[in-house]
Amino acid sequence: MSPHPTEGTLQEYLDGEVAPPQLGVVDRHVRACHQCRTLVAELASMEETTRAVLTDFVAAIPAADQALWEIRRARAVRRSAANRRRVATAASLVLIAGASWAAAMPGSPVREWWDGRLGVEPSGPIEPQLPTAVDTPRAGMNQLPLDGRIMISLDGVSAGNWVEVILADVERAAVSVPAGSSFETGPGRLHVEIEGPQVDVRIEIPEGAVAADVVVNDQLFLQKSGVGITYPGPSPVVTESGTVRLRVGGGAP
Amino acid sequence: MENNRARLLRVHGQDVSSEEMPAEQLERAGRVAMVRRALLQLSDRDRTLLLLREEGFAYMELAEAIGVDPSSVGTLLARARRRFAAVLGA
Repeated sequence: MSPHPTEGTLQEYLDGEVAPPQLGVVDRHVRACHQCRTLVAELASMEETTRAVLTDFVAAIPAADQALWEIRRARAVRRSAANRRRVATAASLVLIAGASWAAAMPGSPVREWWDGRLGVEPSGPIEPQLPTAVDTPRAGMNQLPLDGRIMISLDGVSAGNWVEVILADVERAAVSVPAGSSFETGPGRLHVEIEGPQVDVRIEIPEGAVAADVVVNDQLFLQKSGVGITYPGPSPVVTESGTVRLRVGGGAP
Repeated sequence: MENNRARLLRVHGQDVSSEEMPAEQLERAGRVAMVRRALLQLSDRDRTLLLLREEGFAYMELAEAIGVDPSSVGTLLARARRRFAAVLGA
């Protein structure tokens, strides 16, 4: 049997951050070693504990918290397939992403911490490099369906594509995906990796969403800010029913 | 005497005389306050790791944020979680 991996390596293994060929070595060791399996279970338990309490905390971000909003947006367009984790397989279903009660709290605890208002001065290189907040471009089209919802159809999405919906202040968005696709959710975001044949992915952003982004394969497709909606990617075609159709794959919409 | 509701409202910057806060929101406000207190007992680095990881940052991004080698992130994250769990359980 190979030497015991360090606790840090087991944490990486748990978080899906160990790359081949080391992944195979660690995986075989953990399967064969009761001691390491126990440690992995302990790490997983601690992770669940922290996630359970931090989810509400991180979700307590008002729509006006531009710094966190920009972090989410920047991350959505920077992520790579190698960094995805906690992917759960799903059949054809409706996914719910919770921005939770973000607007309910008057202040963002994360922002307070970020700004050093908790009484702890940041030191050294601790402060992350935040993307610069930018004004949301107002160019584009205003599109407000009668019932306030935004219905989007991403046409021609094929296996290996991914779609991410980022929300600022609403409780949920719905995404219909083909069977076999997988998803990952977090506070204010929903990430879907598409599997199976080329399909149309339908997204519903509910009434009241002050800000929302739809990102497909590193490309920003839709950006909503207030009543303004811009389409930095493919040009939209709005159907009679009000659905916004955006072509992802080849062919005309 | 200031009751719990008034205290929580004050802690979270709301006017006590404002509209009634639903019980569920009050409970969440209490949880957020508890987590904030626990996070305050951690180092800057531990807080940064826990919060940015919860935001979904990958190890490479975390390493960049706190200025360490990416190979150290797993160890630091495990320790941060252990300390956070201990503070919460205290």
